[in-house]
Amino acid sequence: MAKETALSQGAADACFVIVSHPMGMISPIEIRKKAENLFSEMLKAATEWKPIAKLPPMTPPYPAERFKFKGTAENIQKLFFEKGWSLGLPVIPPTPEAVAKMLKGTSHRPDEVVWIVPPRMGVLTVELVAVHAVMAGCKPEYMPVILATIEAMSEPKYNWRGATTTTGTIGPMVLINGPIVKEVGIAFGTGAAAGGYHPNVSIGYTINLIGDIIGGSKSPEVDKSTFGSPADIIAWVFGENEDANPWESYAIEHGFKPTDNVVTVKNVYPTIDMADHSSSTPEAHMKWWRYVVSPLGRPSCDNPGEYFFILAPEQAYMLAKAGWKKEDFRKTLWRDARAPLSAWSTGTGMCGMAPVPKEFLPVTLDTLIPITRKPEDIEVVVAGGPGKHSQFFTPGHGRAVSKLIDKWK
Amino acid sequence: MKCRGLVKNFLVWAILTGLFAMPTVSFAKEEIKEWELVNPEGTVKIDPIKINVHPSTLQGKTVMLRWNAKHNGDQFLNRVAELLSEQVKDIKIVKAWEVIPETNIISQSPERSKEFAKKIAAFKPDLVIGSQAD
Repeated sequence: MAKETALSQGAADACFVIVSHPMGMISPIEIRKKAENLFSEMLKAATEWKPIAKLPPMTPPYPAERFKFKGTAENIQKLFFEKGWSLGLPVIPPTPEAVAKMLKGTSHRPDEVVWIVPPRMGVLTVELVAVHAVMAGCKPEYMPVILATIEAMSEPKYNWRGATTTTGTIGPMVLINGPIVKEVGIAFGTGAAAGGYHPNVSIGYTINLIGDIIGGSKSPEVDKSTFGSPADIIAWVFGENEDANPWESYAIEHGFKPTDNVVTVKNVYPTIDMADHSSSTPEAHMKWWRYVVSPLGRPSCDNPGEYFFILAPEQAYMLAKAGWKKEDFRKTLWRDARAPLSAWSTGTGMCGMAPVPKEFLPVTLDTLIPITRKPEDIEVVVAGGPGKHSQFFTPGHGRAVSKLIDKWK
Repeated sequence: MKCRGLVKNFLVWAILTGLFAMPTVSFAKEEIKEWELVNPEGTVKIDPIKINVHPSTLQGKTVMLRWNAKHNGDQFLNRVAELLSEQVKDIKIVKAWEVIPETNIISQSPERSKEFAKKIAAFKPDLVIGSQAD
């Protein structure tokens, strides 16, 4: 992964001395021994290393290469898997005819470059987006949603590179708002993030195909996710349940119009379920949340991203009926879901893997640290169907980014 | 006797019919055909950078040690610093996490990495040893 990162930054070769895992969570004696064992290699590398590798050749990105293949449809699956062009699930063979049909889903030219995808720095054209959309089984009418998602992910503040090369179990979350949810058939009610909904699943598959093939973030060479998750194959794609939302939608809250079609992306860890079946007052309900949500899961000290709370409509309804707004939910949670600094720190001033942020200072080991740096970083979305299971995503790298979809029609 | 003969004839007929019928009831093979496909990989765009030449000796040189705040990285580099000081004459060791503590964190982006690199370069080290990754 380090070599790929160096290459992506223009260093065809870089000087490494590899220290085997583990580094963390071992004793000072063991770590010092590792340094002693590798010291002569380090000294040699420091004074004798010379770069020898060359950068790969650069060729025009459009049109994408065509090639001939003789075999069965099953042979194609084997070929694509062996070349790293599938994630283990079947793909639809991307014939030029299928790609041309997919390109009818957008008015944008096929040679338009929409992203240079890290860490491989693959050049992603509209044509290649269509190729991956074909492979994932998408319909042409999904192309604007896919292209807007890519546009959002390409923003530096989203931090795609960090999320796809980390040891953390991070995947993309793609939230859709606006009339397009129903127009295209994106699931937003029961099983919104489950299987059986063609747009959600095929769009989610397209995103990860692009990330792995164009961006090169394949496991285990570059994507170092310790365990991984199904979101590495099919991204979390769902619509907000705007019909059942007793408050304003995520998109409207963030400055968009009700008629706008909006996609919001965020790097997230897998959800944690909160199953309060019995509280009939906000105060009782928030007690559940207080103990389910812990800042040790994702310390606000080293991760300044947003938490996304996906409230089940029935739980949102209970809160709204009692007169609560989203603001009440976030302020109460920010106040109560805390842990003492002593839970992380041994008095060194570190919280997680970073110093305590200045906005929390001054602190002692007894200071209660909140889940986010400010209450505004607790985002509230309503999605799902009947039932008493809300979810929350803790933040992976970067911040949420929202983009309008219609410009890609 | 006559029954036995009929049964025998029936069995022979059944076996012969089965042998001739086998190809028509076997599973149809998938068709091999010529495909034209689009390569999903695309090309890359990388702007090359110039890598500085490593010094031929560390004697009298300045070596900066950079830690990214991951557990034990500092312990590892502290031991490297001790060994360098013992074995290399007139070496000067600078620990980035002490002199520019704001860089003692995972950068999280190429832009922030460049920012950290500039701060490190301001000390004009002859070599930087970074404890990166996990």
